Order: sequence, then structure tokens, then C-alpha cells
Amino acid sequence: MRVHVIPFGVLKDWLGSSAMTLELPEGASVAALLEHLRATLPDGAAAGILSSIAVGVNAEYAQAAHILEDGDEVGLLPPVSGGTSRASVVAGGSPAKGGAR
Amino acid sequence: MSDDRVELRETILSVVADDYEEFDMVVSEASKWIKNSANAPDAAQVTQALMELIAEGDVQALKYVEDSSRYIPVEAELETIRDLWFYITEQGKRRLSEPVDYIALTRERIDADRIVSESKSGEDGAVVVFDGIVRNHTLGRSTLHLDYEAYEEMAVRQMRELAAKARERFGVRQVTMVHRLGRLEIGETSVLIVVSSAHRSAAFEACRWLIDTLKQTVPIWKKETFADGAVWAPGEPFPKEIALQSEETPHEA
Repeated sequence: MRVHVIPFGVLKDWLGSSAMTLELPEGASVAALLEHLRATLPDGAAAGILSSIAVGVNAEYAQAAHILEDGDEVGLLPPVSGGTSRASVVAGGSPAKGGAR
Repeated sequence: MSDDRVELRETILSVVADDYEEFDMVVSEASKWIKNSANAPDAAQVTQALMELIAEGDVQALKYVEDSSRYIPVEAELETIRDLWFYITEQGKRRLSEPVDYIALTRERIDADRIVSESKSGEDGAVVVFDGIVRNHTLGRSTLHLDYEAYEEMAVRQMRELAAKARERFGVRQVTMVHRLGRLEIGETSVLIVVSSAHRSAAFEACRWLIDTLKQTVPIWKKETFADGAVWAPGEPFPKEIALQSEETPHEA
């Protein structure tokens, strides 16, 4: 079966910015899809990023055990950061990774 | 759609508006009103037509069925009734609630003043507004601008659900949530939440809960551009019920 996978946010830097179609065995779960993706990511990066994500199947949150169906749209969702800036880390907080001076 | 079906639907709406409590009466009245007696509808057809009307968001039809559903007779096919209940509970309620809350994603500037004034109604005693704006620094670095993106279909659904939950949980009358997408400059509104309510304490609590929950669960992401580079904001960890349990994730064999 085929599912359409759409990466969002920082995942686009790793998986490319457009939707991709993946061929999976019938009855594959969300967890199986993630295993498949893990194998395509460089070591190290994968564990960190994929362990913190949530998944939307056809625009609803889904759990790891959720069984996918042919034609499903699967959104890969890193921790969300809508709204305003983060409730500020008070003085002394560590700088954001990704390169403060 | 065939003329017969159009006529049936129009007839049902007129009959329903006349306030018959008994479903049988609706069916028999509808039959009388239909010009060609050969097309007189049975209970299942009336149920089906009501269902379609509800699915299309017809408030009148939904209210009728909600008020009088216990009168819908067993002769109507079981499957149809089951479908009808699905529409009432899932679609119907959602559609009924649509005019109440105002939920949107937009790439245009958010006109907070206009939206706030449109959120007020005579029955409100308080309107609490959260106007989230782009700040010029994060953790000591100067921010130049932000870019927001969303999983749009899902974000709108989530925002609708949050609004409905807030109304249910805090008893507020109306929730307005607008989130901006695309590039935002310093000082511009990124998210506007307006809660209208008879009482201020409920409005304050609901507003606080809405922004906190939005920041954790609504699929929107932000890329921050600083003088010395751009990063995706790290985001807040997902709540347990949404995060994928790392249950038995096989460690690389």
C-alpha cells in the first residue's frame, strides 16, 4: 500500500520539503513507518528528532500502534511552536541550540 | 439532484418548521405536501433527507432531530438511523458550532481591533483578548523576522476542537482564534485569541488555557531569523496523550 508522508518544520531539513509517497506492507503501523524513516536518516539525527515527534494521520493525531491504510496522509510533526515566543527562559537559561555565540 | 429530492427536502423543511413533534406526522404531512402523490416519501426517505440536510449544516433540520429524535420510528431502517445519529453527533454538532466560533489561519495582517469589536455581543459581560506579537529578541539574540508554517487542515481542526472544549469547560459564549502564517515582522500579531463571555473569570481562564494548549498541540511551526542565521524554534514537548509513546521502539538491531 502507499501512504503520503509530509514532513513539517525542522524535519523538512532532513527529509526534504515536499510530500513523499512511501510503499509499505499492508497493515503497517505508524511505528513501522517511523522505523522505515529512521533507516533513511543519518545516524544520530534520527533518534533525537523522531523520538520527539507526533504524527497526524489524515489530519488527526494518531498513536504509534495506529494501523495505516492505503492512501493515508501522514504528517510528521516536530514539537510545535505556534503562538508567541516560548515562555521565556529566565536569565541564565542555556542558549538555543543551533548556535548562539 | 432530481426535482423530486429537491421538492422533498424543501417540503420537509417547511413541515419541520411547523413544529410537529411526532415523526409520523412529519412523514404524513410531507406526503400531503408533495404534489405528485406517487412520490410520497416513506419514513426512511424522510430520515435520509433530514440526514442530508443536517450534513449540509441545516440548523433547522438538526434542531428538529435533536428535539424529537426519540420519536423517530423503528420502521425507518436501522442503518439509516445509525447514520443519522452519526451526523447528529459528529457532523451536526460540529456544524452547529461553526457559526459560534471564529477560527482562521491567515497570511494577511491580523486586524486585532476589528476582530475584537466583532467578537462582542449584547449578552457578554467580558471580552478577554490575548494578542501575541513578534518580539525583537529571543534568549539574548536579536530577531529580524519570523516565518510561520502550519499543517493547515489539521491546525484548523485542532483549533476548532480547542474552541469547542473551551466553551464546554469554561462555559464561555464564543471563542475567536486567528493565527498568522508566512513572514512576520517585529511587532506584528502572530496569534489573536478573543474569548467572549458573560463573566470575566471564565473568560480569563479560557483564554489562558487556549493559548497554552495551542502552543502545545496545534501543528504550527516557527522559523526564527536572527542577524546571524535562522533556526526552527525548538517547540514545546507534546503532551503525553499526543506524543508517540516510545513504547518498545526497537533499538537499532
